[in-house]
Amino acid sequence: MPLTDTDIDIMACVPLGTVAAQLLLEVKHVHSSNGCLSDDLLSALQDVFGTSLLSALDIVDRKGVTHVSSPSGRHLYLVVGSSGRLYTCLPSGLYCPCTYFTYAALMKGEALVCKHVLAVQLSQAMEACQELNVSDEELVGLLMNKDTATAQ
Amino acid sequence: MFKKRKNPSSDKSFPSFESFHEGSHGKARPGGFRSAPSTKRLHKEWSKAGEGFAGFSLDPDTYDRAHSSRKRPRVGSQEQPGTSSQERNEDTFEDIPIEWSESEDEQEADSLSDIIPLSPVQSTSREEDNIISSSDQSDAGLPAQPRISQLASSTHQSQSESTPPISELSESTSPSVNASPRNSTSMARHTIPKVQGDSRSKQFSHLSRIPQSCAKVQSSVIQKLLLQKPKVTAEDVGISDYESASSDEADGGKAASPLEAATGSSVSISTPDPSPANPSAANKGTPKTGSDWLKKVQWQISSPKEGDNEEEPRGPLDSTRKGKKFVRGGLAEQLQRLQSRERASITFWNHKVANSTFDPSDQKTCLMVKVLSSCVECSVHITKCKTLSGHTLLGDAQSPYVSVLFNKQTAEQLGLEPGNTVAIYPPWQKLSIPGQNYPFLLCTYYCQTVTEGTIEGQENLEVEQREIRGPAPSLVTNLSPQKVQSVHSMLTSTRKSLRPSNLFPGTSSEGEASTAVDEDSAAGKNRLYPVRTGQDRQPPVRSFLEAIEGLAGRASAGLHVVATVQRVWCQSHQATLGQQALLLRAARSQTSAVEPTSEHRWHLLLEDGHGVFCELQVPNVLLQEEGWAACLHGGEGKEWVFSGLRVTHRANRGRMPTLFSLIDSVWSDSTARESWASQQDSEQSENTYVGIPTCLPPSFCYLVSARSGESRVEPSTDNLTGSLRDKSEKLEDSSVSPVYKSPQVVTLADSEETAADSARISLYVKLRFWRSQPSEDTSSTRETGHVLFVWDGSTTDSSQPYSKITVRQSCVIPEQVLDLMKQPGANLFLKDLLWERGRVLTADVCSVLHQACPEGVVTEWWQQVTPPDVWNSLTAAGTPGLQVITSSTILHSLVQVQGQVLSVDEDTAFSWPECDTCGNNKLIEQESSLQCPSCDKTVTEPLTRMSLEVYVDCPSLEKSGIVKIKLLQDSIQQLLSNQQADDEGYELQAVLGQELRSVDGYLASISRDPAGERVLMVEEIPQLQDVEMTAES
Repeated sequence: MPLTDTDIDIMACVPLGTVAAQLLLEVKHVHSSNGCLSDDLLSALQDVFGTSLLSALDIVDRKGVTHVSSPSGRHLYLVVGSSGRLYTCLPSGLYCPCTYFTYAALMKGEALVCKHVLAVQLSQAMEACQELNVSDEELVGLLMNKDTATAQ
Repeated sequence: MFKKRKNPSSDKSFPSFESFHEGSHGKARPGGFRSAPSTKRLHKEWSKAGEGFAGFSLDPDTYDRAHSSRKRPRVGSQEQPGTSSQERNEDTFEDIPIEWSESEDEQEADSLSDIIPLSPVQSTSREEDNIISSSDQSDAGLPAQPRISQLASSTHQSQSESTPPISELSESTSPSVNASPRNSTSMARHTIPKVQGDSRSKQFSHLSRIPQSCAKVQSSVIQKLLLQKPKVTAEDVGISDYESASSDEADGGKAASPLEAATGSSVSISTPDPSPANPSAANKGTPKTGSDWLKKVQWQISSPKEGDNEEEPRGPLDSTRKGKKFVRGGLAEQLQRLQSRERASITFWNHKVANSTFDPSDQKTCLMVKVLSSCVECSVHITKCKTLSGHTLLGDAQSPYVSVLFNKQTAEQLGLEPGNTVAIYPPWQKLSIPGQNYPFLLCTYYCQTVTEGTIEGQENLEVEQREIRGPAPSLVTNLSPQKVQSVHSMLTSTRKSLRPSNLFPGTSSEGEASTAVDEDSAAGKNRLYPVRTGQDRQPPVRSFLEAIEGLAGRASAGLHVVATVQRVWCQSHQATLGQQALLLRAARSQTSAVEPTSEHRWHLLLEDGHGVFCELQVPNVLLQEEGWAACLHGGEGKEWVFSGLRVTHRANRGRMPTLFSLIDSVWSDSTARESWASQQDSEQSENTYVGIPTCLPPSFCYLVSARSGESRVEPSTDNLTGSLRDKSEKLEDSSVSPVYKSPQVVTLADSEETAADSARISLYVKLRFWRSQPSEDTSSTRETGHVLFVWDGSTTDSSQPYSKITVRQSCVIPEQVLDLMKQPGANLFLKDLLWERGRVLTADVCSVLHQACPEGVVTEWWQQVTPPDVWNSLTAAGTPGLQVITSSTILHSLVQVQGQVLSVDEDTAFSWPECDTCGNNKLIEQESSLQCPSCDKTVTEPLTRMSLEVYVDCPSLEKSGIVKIKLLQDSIQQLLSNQQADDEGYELQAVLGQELRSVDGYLASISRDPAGERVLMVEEIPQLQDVEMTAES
């Protein structure tokens, strides 16, 4: 018996990204009203994001996410990795030059995001980004660096 | 983590390095393997297993690559010169790859000895993993590291050809030969660092090719960042290439399943594979600690979930990782704690269900679902299910369908596939997503597969046995078209088209779905609901110990107990810092939740039916909830049902003496308690928690906390109290629990005769005078408090008609009591003062200052705690007069001063106008009239306030000093009564020589004037109306 549209609708699984996005909204909401995150929320995040979460929260705790913007309106995020290395994450949030992202998120599909992208998302949600204004030239420099990191 | 790698810690690892080296020296080296280097490795993998990481993470290549160049010379330099082992070591460093790992102090000895001899099986599997990973890597054509991966794979492959015979050999030979496969591995590894070095130099050359201006620009940006984040030191930056190396390595390892890599075989959850214990180690007689074993077992049970992420380098790095401290009170710390709790409870759960089948009677307490479809994304099994029973646990959900997310571990354990029936036990979390008309269940860790036929009346579901790979196309329409397009251009897989960041507003152009979501979120709707255990529906337990043990398997559930509120007090936050720093640290994560304005926290001393005490902390915000407000304000002495409480700490007498002094005062083995306890025992004979023997005072106390949104309280409606009430004749008040011990109300005179060395007493007093003063305890200079002078008519000693009571700052005085205290002679009820032999009565954190019997609010509680004789003597008490000041008068006491005014301190003699309406003393002079800014009106008849300090010669002092007294308005006016003020004010000279009538004062300080004469500084205190001039007569 062929499946009807209703059946497909019932059977279909919602992508994990939708759940993750809703949880991040939850983070934003809970943090803006309570100033902290509940254990329950952390537990849920952990379920969806896996072990990236712990590292990402550590980055957030250390205020390791910097929002860099230039006069032209371009902006990006710099994330301090665990070694002090800087990762450039684009505002679209879809990419991180770290190898984990390339490998686990893009190639293997084992993880939604890497800790850096997650840290950016969490910092945005909790308004924990440091702000840094740079000139356009400086932003170019950062993007150039990103390119080298990607190409290597 | 890098700042952790300080010289001392590195140094610590060296002795073990050396000792190990010496230990291995005696072993026979297999011929043909020149270096037998595996015995030289400080492999930590099995000891690290307890951390829950394995596989690639164990591969020390990364570390070797990154650190060998830096560490080796240091190792050499750390050696004791002149020893033969040193020579060997140096020798070794030349040609043997030493896999260096940072061992932690406490693990050095054990881990070294029991880790070295890997069993052949493990070694081989490690080899294979490496091969898989490296070839995978090269197959994948990872652009970042083509040279390394190819090289690595080729070395590994060549190695693998030579490996089988070795492992065969090793299987049949002695343990020392067992090491040989690893030997070859490490030889292969030995080549890697060089390659890596090339790669690094390549990376640097990349950097150097950046246009110089850009490079400069970048460094300036980094400098800016460094300025913002001072923790990043030059050293950290210098090490940065290290992480790239390690993450490369992580990639290599990812291809292999961490589990397989770790154990060399499939992991059975219920029956841990003991192979890591490495029997060969035992054969050698190396000690093996039980904790190591336990770690391994735990790791096997709990690690798979974590093994998914290889971003953090593990293995050798793991030891640094373990030492890594998260930001205190930070979210990472909170998560870490949460993780360990959950891990423990999952372990408990797995143990519980390992050998049991589904019990149909559980149907009421769990959610039964039939899995309709399932897809795997990012190791998470997203299933669509139909609920079979337990709908009530889902709340108001309309749809019979529910989407359940199972993590990899749970899914594997369940053997999850469409058509299965799964019982899901609370707790879990329910997430509702706008646009989806069914709920999502997360954190479903406590599940059990239900076999067919065990459920009565199971619905016959037509389940299409198929898996849906990826989302249905209709779901993509949730995204705005341009976003789909932009995403699609970047990614080929539709699965990846839904990144959280895509839907997350504020990052890019917002999709329709996300906008709708945001509106909901802005409207303050919570979409994540924790579903607790069915505990709430079960009757609460009457024992703290039982409740706490009941938590063991359910980490996120709170305590659910019935307890009697013995005491309620309020504590200010600053005051808790010194004494209860430990407690605060434990509760830091919660305190951050409390808004900074609420500096008070409520504390309740609870006692269960077995004489066990708990201190419950309630944040001020909970006062807004009706139940908590009732409990905090009128709950003392009653029984309440608490739920959702978290245990934060366990205290003992040594740690919290203050709390235990209070517990001692309410603890008793009275007849009521015994009958209570015996009744409990007879009713619940199976209950093993009979409680503390009633003859011993409690030696511990759990500290529990209530949390906003989680914890609830309601009056106990248990009729057990009622049945007991019939037996207990004393209890006339129906609502007072038989366990409750009301405060011990005494008179001031009685308090002096207290037998014990310290006690908690309660007093009904009249307040004569109070002022703030620095604490007499010099050790805590910060603490200031108040000092009260009170009387209750019971004291007959006329030399000390008023008793002094010190109120520590930590004792919070309620606003209304502060208002009351402004009037001298106010009646106060001081509850649970700390009486210590030879010391002043003290009101500390646990003490409460009440208005004595608030008028019109004479409740049963007040009737019970107010002995009629005490109350009568208080109301009948006259106002005793004060002693005249003498040379022997004690500092900080009340005195009476009378004498001739010698001189005037002109610096303190001034007057000012004050608003007659509001008392504002900052009036603005405008066109010869005074304006009050706060009343916003012209003050026509300003009050004149005066300040005057005079030196008085008191005859009672007998020339041993003079009194400098700061006079109140009335006394000043009396002194000035016989002269008229002119425009310039009063003529102070007129005051000299006048007789100061008898005034009461507080001896604030004693000093010496430049001439060396004692000056007793007295502050006048207001007179009471009905002063009996006893002292004068």
